Amino acid sequence: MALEIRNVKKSFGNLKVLDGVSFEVEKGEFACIVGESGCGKTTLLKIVAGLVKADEGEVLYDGKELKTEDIAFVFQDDRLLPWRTALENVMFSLEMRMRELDKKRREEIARSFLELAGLKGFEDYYPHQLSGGMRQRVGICRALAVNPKVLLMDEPFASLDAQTRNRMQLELLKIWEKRRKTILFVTHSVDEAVFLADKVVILSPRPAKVLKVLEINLERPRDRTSPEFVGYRREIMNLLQGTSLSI
Amino acid sequence: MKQKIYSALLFVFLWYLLYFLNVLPAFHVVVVTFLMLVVKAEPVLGKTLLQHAASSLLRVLAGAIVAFSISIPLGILMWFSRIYNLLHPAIEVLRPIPPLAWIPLSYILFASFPNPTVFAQIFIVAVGAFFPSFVTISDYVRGVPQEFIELAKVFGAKSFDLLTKIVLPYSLPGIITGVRVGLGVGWMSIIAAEMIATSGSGLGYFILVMYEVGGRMPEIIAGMAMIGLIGYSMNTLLFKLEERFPWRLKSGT
Repeated sequence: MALEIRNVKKSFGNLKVLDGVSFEVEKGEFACIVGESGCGKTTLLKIVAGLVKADEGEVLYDGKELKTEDIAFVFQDDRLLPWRTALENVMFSLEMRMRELDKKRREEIARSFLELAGLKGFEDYYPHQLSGGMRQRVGICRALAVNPKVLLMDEPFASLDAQTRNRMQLELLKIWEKRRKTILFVTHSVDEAVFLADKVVILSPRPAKVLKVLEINLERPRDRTSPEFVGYRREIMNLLQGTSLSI
Repeated sequence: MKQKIYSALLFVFLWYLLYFLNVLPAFHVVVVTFLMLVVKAEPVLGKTLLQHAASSLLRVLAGAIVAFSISIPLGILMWFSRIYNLLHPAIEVLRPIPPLAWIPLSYILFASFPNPTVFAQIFIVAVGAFFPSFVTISDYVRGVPQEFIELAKVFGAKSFDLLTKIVLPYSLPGIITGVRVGLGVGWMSIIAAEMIATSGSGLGYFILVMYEVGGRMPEIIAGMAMIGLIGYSMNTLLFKLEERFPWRLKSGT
């Protein structure tokens, strides 16, 4: 078992956000977390990242505490630095995390990731010159470049239009198939979760608990219109709706 | 462009109106005086308008360098809340004191210097340029989005990295705004300072002397035009530079 989230609890003042969340993710597995907006998905991800401290519980990787230097984060907003080109943005994470590398080596790594993400030729473009999808890909490259043990993604495609979003999901799977990373991907789109994940963690509304961990046993690339795909979607939606109706 | 021409025509028209009312000398007389003064030395002080402009500019430059070499680094350090909390109240008390109110004090401070007038003037420019540039820069620095800080921390940034790789580059357009605003106030300060102390040269001194030798209106207005032109050019030049940063915040001034 690679990544273990054990009984994580978190409150902000009187507001109980996470009420003992536990689940596990295998090495190289693609896990999606779904739940209603405001259920604490992002808080959970930030706790895994070490950006927010949990009140109780722990996050382990191979039995040891997961540290910020073991993870990389892809944000919902692309969060590229506007004064840096695409290449320099990817190099940013390397400058922080891999200080022992010289500039030439950092540049090589950054270039190879941009190429992997289909951004060859756009290295010297500034963020404002790139499309939303391209910017998100640069953000993914920046995260992958530091070779994290776990890649955390917080609704990275939420602000993209439907077509771009579908294309980005395919791109992400392509990259993931080449560089098998353990991915924890937060989304509120059930469709996105079933399309991407090996495993979907379904959270209840606030205070969040794990309702169910569902393995998606479908070949990739997945057909969104196949009965099996629709079946998985229905199951997750029923779980999500069931809980919100019972409140 | 068309708008600018209309604006200029209106300006000239109003001017002639005032001329016919015996308020101002004729526009063309001032233009000719201006052009003459640019190329030929004016006899009372023995200097051309350009020479006066150069000596005013040199003093502004000296004062501005002093001001900015403090206001830029200090403004960036204001990112640290501890430094902000320490400095902000003191700055807010000193800031409303007009640069000219520092003149008497500066004469005492620089009395023992070889050329106290020049030192006092540079000091006044420095005071004038410091506060607006410092406040502009520190406001900008305080506005660094928390998202960028979070991003840098996720990848393991230390305090020094935050300062050099996030705060400083983000604030670059703010620093240029600060320099622009500071130079503007510095320029006003030097003209005023030159009118109070005898300095032998400078645009402020020039228009004052032109008044004292008999109210020579065309010369005075020509000097004022030069002051305006230089102030306008400095502002426009730096504003153009500022606009090149796609992430700059909208600046009001």
